Amino acid sequence: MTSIVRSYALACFICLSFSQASFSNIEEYFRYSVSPDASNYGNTGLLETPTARFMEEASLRFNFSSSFPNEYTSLTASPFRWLEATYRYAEIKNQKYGPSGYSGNQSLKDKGFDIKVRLKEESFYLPAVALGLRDIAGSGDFASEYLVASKRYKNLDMTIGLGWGKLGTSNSIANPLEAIDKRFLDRADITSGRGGEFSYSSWFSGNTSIIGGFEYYLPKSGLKFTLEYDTSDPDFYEYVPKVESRFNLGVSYHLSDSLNVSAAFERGDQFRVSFNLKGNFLKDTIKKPAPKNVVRLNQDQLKRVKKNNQIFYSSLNKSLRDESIYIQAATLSESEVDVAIASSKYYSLTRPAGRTARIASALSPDNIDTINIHSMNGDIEVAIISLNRKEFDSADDKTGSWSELLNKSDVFSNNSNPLYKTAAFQPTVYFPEFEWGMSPALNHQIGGPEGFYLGQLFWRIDTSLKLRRNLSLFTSFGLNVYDTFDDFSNPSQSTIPHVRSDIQYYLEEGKNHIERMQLQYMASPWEDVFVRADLGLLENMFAGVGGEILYRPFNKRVAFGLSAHRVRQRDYDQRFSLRDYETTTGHASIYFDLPSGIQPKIIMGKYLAGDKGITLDLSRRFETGFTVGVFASKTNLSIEEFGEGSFDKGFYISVPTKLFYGDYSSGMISFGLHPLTKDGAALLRQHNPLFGILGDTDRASISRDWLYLLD
Amino acid sequence: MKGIILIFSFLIFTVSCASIDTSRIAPGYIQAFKAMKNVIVGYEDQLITKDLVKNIPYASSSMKIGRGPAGLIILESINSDQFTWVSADGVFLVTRNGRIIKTAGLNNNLTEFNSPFRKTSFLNQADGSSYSYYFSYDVPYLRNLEVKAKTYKKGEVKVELLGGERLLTLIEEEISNDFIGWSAVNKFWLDEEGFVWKSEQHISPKVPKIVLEVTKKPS
Repeated sequence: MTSIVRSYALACFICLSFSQASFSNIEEYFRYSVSPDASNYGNTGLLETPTARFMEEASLRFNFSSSFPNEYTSLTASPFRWLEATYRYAEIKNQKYGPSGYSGNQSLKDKGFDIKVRLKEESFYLPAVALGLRDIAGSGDFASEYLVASKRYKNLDMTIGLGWGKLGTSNSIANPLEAIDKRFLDRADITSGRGGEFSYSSWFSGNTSIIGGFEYYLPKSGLKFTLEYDTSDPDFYEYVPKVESRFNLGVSYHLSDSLNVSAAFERGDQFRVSFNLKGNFLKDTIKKPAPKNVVRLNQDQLKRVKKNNQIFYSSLNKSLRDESIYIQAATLSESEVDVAIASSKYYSLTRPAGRTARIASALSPDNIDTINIHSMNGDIEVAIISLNRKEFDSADDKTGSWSELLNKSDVFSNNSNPLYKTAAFQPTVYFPEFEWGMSPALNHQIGGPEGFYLGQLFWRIDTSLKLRRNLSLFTSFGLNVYDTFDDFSNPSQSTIPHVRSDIQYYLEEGKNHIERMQLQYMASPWEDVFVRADLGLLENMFAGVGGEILYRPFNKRVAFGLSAHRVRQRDYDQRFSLRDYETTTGHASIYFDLPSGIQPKIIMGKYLAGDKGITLDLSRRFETGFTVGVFASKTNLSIEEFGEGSFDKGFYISVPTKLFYGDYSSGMISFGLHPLTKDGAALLRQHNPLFGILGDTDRASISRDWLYLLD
Repeated sequence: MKGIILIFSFLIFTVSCASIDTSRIAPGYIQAFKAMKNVIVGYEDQLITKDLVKNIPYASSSMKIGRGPAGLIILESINSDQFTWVSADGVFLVTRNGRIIKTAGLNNNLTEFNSPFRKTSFLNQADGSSYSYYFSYDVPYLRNLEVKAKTYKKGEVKVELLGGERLLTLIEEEISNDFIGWSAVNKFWLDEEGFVWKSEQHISPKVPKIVLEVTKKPS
């Protein structure tokens, strides 16, 4: 019996000890956050060797890693906690881009795309496991596949796995997949291909090696030491000198959670220096100003408001302006108050709605029990949030909850009959209303034979002239400050209409240019239906006439769009003259908004060069607004007609600027990248696409951002 | 640091050419009429002025966290020698003898503070004396982080406060935890009665320096 009691006591002691250990986490309080970081290639790894570690979900990392002869510049994103995708430029410094008459002294550049997927999370006993592909759909110079496992013990992180392709060329073991199929015995040579094709047949085939290494973290000093067994065998890769050692050593210093610098000694005779910048955009970690305190009206003031509603409207207007919210219309009735608002400050629709409700509640007479906030964007009323005043006040002063408020509120749309047409209070608006903005901007041409980077710094001036409700003239001018575009010497060899591939002429001759001069009409003629009409210089390369119609059922997670434009190509100087080529382009689109922010989009139709086909676009939008997406198009052009790259593809990333500042803003830093500028599958660049304006205003989006109503 | 990333993003990716284009990304078109300018009733002024402080019937202090703006905190309650202060955006601080001993509403909160000076003020310690504190936090959870401390009296200095200039004694306290590599210097400015009018305090490796300045002394 005594032994049972002792065993029980011992078990309790162990359990308590472990539970304390699992709850207390002093590692999180180290001065430096030393963690797995970028490999030379950009995705998370050791130096040459990948690991089964990943960045946190919704992270972006820019990595630069330089040695001789190979230098890598990469961007890595983690749209899911189990997925990392990397786009990379490799410079091979001891090889020429091409004959000197074609590309001068420029060294060879190679584009690459990597993907890594976690198969299993790390557990107490078992390691994390990941599968990855390096340099897929590229020229294949660095093409590798790997299966790796990583296990951490205290400050030591160990990785071991199998590598194929360039990672497997030391051929230390027989390919285990040969047992499944003999086709894994030999690896097809993919380096001589056109590039841009997925060489499925060569994946996981041919020579195989065991890969692995260690990382040791010293979080107190911000240091990380790396030792790896490098099987990439670059002497097989003819551009790299002979390998002196298979052991690579590295040291990293984490200057902060976002910035890391490192140095390495590789292959017995090569030094490498690297740095990377990382940002996580899953949460907005910078505190923003709270809603301003509202002085509730006293009984005297409330009596005056009841007698004269103009006092209420004026007070509302003043108080909303202090929050950078602009009243568009309002009606104070017997038991309800309706307020239509617009704001260019807030990224989310619910935040200005909540701040408006707070102010409206403070200023409203006691008989008001419902507050209806009509959210507007331009002249379109996108949604109505109908709040029970009592519930809202309770939630606002923390005696009620936001979920109760959601339960007792109504969210709907009445966009074809906006409040500003019928409201008792309609602010006088004087037309034309003119707004402008200007900023420095950059134009880039990356990876061409004339130079890896050719660029232009220019001054961009954007104007908007609102002629009447629903009708505006948008212009955008560019004035050259400095450029290196005179070096262009690589005219397009495309055999189809040069709708995009004459980019060099546009950049060179249009240094001072009119990017856009476009008359645009936008309205909502019927419930859930929105239209846009365009006329003028629509984008850098095309002018014309056309429009778009979008059906966005407010309560559904799907929307349908149709667009059609008759366009003519603009002259290279991007003023008012036009070239001979003209065409009709148009597409049908379906947009989905799936749970977890996954947003597939399908676009089908006729593209600018006359080719017909389909574009698939898949993105993930996080709650903060951070968005990562990929797209690919396939049209009826043959691979030969399309040229290098075989089919159109690319990615885009969008980061709300509010994530960088201590105040709200609706701006975005966005970029998208086509690895190659090709004529096939080229879409017209439309200003103010309707789904861009309305995609984030449906019921699902408002429910997602409901918490911001009280913020 | 995010600012650096922003600059990088701008330099590298501010774009409008064919190789890199932004046409696929929703531009967030937002337009708003800016109508009307009438003023009838509005808001309280958020600036901390002598008049504002005078008109508030409670004791108050200004609080600044890291590089954030200074904001006013109001004395909500007094429990024995513990003062509870609250800010407009819901940050609570509990102080004892001018030292922060508990917080709520921050990203990382001090949930418990154990000190060898239960009954006396640490401010009365001899110059150069050493002792240990134990800090506990909520997220990430941590119990009893030992922080070694040493106090130095730096003499009298003139300090500009909201109510005017005062001659105060400056006490500096060096705190450190070698295991996690955290060290900081806390500063307390007190009058001849031992009342702390101003302080610069570090309560956690994860919370930037907190500067407190009494704007209206508790009666």
